[in-house]
Amino acid sequence: MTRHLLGLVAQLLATLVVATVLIFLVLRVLPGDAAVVALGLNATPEALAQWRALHGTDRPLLVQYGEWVGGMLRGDLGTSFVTGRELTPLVADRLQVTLILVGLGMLLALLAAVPLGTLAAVKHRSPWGTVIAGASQVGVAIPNFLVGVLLVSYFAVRLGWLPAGGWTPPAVDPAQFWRHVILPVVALGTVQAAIVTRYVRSAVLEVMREDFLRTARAAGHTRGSALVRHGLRNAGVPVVTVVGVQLAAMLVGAVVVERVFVVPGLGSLLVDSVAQRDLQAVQSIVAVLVLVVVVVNFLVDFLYTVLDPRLRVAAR
Amino acid sequence: MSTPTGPVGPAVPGRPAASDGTGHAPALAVDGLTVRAGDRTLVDDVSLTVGAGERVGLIGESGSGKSMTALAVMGLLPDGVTATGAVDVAGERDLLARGERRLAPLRGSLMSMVFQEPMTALDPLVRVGAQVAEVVRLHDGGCSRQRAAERAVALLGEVGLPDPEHAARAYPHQLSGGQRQRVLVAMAMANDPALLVADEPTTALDVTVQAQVLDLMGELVARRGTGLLFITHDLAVVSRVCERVLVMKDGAVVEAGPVAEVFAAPRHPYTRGLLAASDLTATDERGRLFTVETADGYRPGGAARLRGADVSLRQVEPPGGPAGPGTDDALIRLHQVTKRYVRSRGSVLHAVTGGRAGQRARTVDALCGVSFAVAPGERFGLVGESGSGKTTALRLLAGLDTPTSGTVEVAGVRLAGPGPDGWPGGGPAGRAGRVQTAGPRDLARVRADLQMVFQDPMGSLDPRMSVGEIVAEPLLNPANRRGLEEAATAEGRRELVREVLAAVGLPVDAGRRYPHQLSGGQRQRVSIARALVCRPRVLVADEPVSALDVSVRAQVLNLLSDLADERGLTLVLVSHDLGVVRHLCDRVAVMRAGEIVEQGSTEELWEAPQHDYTRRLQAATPTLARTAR
Repeated sequence: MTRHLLGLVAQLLATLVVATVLIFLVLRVLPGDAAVVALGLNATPEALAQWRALHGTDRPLLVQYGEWVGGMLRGDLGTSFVTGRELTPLVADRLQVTLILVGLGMLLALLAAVPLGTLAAVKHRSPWGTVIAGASQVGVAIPNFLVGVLLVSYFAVRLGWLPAGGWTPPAVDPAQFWRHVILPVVALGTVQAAIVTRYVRSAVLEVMREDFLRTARAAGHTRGSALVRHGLRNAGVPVVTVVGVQLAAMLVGAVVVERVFVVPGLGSLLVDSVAQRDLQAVQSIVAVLVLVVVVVNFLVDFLYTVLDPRLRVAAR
Repeated sequence: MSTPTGPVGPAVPGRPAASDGTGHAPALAVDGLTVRAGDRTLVDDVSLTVGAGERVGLIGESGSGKSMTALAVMGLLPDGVTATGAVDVAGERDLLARGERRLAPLRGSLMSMVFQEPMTALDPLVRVGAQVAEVVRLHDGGCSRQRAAERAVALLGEVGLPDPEHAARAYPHQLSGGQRQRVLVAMAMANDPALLVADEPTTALDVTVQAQVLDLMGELVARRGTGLLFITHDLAVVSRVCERVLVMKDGAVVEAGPVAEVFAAPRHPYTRGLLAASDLTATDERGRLFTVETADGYRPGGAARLRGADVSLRQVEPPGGPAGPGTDDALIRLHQVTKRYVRSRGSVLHAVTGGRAGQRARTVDALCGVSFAVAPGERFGLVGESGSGKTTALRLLAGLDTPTSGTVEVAGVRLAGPGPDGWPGGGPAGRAGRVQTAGPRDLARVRADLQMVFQDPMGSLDPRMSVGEIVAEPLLNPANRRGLEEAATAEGRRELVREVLAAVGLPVDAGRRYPHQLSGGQRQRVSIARALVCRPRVLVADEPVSALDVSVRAQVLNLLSDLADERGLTLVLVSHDLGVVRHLCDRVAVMRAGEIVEQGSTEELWEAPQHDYTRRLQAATPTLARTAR
């Protein structure tokens, strides 16, 4: 078990090294000199050289990479080429917002998808099962910004119950925070709920055919209690996989919902930084996103071994 | 000698079933049970009784409705299948009328069931001790977790698991098939049920394990006075376990009575047919097994004499004779063959981080120095239990895999062996030198000469190809058309396919059908036709009948005999069933754990086995002859 855990951590670290090298190289190779972007096409060569010296882009690549990674290890993401501001507090602030949105969105999705998907599987022969399966099909097809726009036009514009956009950090005013967070979370969560419902349904359908559920019934369980006691945990393994993949997708996908609700998330910051050719900001934000995705994958891998003893042995 | 005397064991021969005279309600009383799926009738008006403590066998082939009967009794019928009639268990009346909520509490306490497939019947995520304890607590809410866990350990000990405390902490995948079936028996017996239903509980197990599990079940039910309804397709197993037997065909019971009586003097033609087809020691005057259709000439217990005649008849034929070929004229030769599989650690990163990947890699020695030779025209059998290495040996023969060391020669082609400058044949076991393998051209020659028939006829036929296409496919490879010039044209191939389909006894229009439209026996005939279409000299069959019903098994074995005779084929047959090999083969090699423990002529080996393992295997193989004696 410990060996397996160490292996997973090593895998995590190796992924991070490869990812940072790739991010760094890709951004250097891309056309568009950061100095020219910052100073404009008419800048004098002297001015450009001065800018490069100031930001250190004239030094060897290896030195630049080492400085960047070394800084990140100390928690310093560098300074923005465009605004000259420290990136670490800015990214931390934005990341917190995105993590709250994505975390609450997935929580909402799971709270809806697990019972609905299970119900759809158990009742797969009855109209209810068909209704849920059909609804989740439709849900998958709807983009989340459309859900966002519909929510805004109804609950914010027509009914005026909730603000149409904006953001209040939870530490500043909890009540305002919740008022602002509800609509974007629902917009993110409903689409995810639809996707995860479909996976839960098929996982539960699969597990309902298993011999051990029949054994459980032969031992005195009813259909329902056999499924709860022995079926759901077995169905959990494939669902955990999907939730992991979807979390990673939501992290970046949240940018659309962030735009609709004018929420200052990490995705918006990334898009803005790309538009401004803020090389330093882009590479640091992407590195942070990679870190989050890799950690999520690590947790998913670890959760497998918690759920399934067979994988523990294979991993040992 | 052939006079039936009662079944072995503490049986009470001829005891009437319904009322056992002691005033106890019977363990199971089924009256007029009919099971339907839509407008199809799966079980038609079946009535049966299992007295308290009585052991009753229910036999029949696939589709006879025997499993549906059991599931109906337990209230576990699949969705869309309905049952009518009356089912009483130990005085509890009319179970069919109860809903799931009122029936579930009776399952696992009053009646319980053991299923066929132990590998998948336990929850893979829960320790087996906890699964047994769960059954205890499910029916005794007052039982503490602690007490239930202790009871589980006691039960696991009772079903003969060594070190039950340790076993209780194991997950199902850490146990063997036989051990898992013991756990399932422990679960079924946990609450002292009045009725135990066992549906083919040992079919998926090796013969020696099967014998142990059967003995265990017999002993447990006898000790606790549990009524047993034992469902199987295997008549020999019934004769080992049961006192009374019911024979089902097409959803109805056609014959019932004490085992000794039914097996010695069957009244219904179908029972007689099943018995004849199951008896691998009995043959007709042509040396062929009886089938349900030809069963008229069959007389239970009269087998030995006919068999003797058969042997003397056959000894004339094969040129090599049962003494085994010299190494010169052998068609197939394996010399000191070893095969070591290395299980890799999987991830590249483990190799990087662990640094000891090579050292940690686990090796499995599937074959450790196996040698045998098969003469042209000979029928050679490989017998062994799962994991003995018999399938690995076949894969090497067919050139599907290469040995770690040793020499493999088939039909004059050296598939693998030491190179010209290499070490002398044999060499020390392990990796003492590089094995040189045959090139693609030589492999193609071997495959034209050696064809295989596999165990699972459904899995080994492409479901999207018609039978005609499947059988013609080997002919599309020019290497397989040596001496068959007509196969170069589509019309010529069609003609060859028609011919071979007729030879394996399939109807003329079979070529246009698809595998799912055929029965299991017909599918295996298609596999055989596909193997024979390019006129090979060697036919290798890997468990060709173990997935088939008894009556079909006899037909397919006869077909193999006929084809081997007509076409002068050399047969290599792999089977776990000593009986099948004994019937078909001249010479046998017994394999265990990658080694041949004994080989010799079939009769010698059967009459006077030298190795202890062969004797154990023989003793564990259930035979009808033993009951009839």
